[in-house]
Amino acid sequence: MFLNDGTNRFQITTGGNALSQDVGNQSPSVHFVDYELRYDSQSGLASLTDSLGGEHGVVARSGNGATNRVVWGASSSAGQGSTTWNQLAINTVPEPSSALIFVMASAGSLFLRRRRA
Amino acid sequence: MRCFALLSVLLLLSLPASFASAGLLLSYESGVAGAVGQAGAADPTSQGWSVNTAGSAPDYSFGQDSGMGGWRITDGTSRDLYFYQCDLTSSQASLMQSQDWAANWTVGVNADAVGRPGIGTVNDYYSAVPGRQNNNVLWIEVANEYLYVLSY
Repeated sequence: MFLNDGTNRFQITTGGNALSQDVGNQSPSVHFVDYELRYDSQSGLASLTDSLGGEHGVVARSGNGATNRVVWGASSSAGQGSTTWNQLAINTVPEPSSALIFVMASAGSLFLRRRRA
Repeated sequence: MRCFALLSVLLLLSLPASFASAGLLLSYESGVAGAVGQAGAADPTSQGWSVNTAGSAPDYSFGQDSGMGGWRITDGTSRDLYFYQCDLTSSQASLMQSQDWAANWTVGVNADAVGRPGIGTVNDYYSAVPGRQNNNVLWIEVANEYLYVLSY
């Protein structure tokens, strides 16, 4: 968890993995970066990507969780920081249901029957 | 063939039910474009987030409309904190265990972290002392499942 040597490199870390991205250092401008953390319930793994093309791969967990919550901001009493947040959202991701697969198969079958007729 | 067509129509009509559990769990929307000069960002507390301001130096630990396309969170101390939190309901937590989900957020790091009336902003964070940017986090926690701490 650190920002490195001031050469316009933004580093976001998860566990011991440093994830570098660029942001602006031109006060008072601010350069926004879009991030996406995608969780796969089957594998139990989450992967991080960003709008700058970063494919950060699987993100290490920091533990198993003790409560149910989402937090953003400056969460530690031991450090300093300042960020500007434009938006944040967490959505469940729909999976193709068996019904959808069956409908597609039925439609395909219907299409083939019509072509043969 | 008619049976196939009828079955297809019925199943298509049933699709919304199969996707009933998909959707937004929680969010913050600043309501402004992410650019310099864009003022009027919404206070997260107006959208169901609670603020934790444990500390004794409100001049240096605060949330505010940045005027630069979002809500600014600053902790200019090495003893305080300032963050927003939303507790997940049991149903939300259950969904985040059993279903795939995606967290999307847009954020920028500030150079001029601290500003006070009569003093103005102090460009002492990113450019001058980048080591001071070590207390920014997105924290996603589901009990007995996982804890993700994305910090920068």
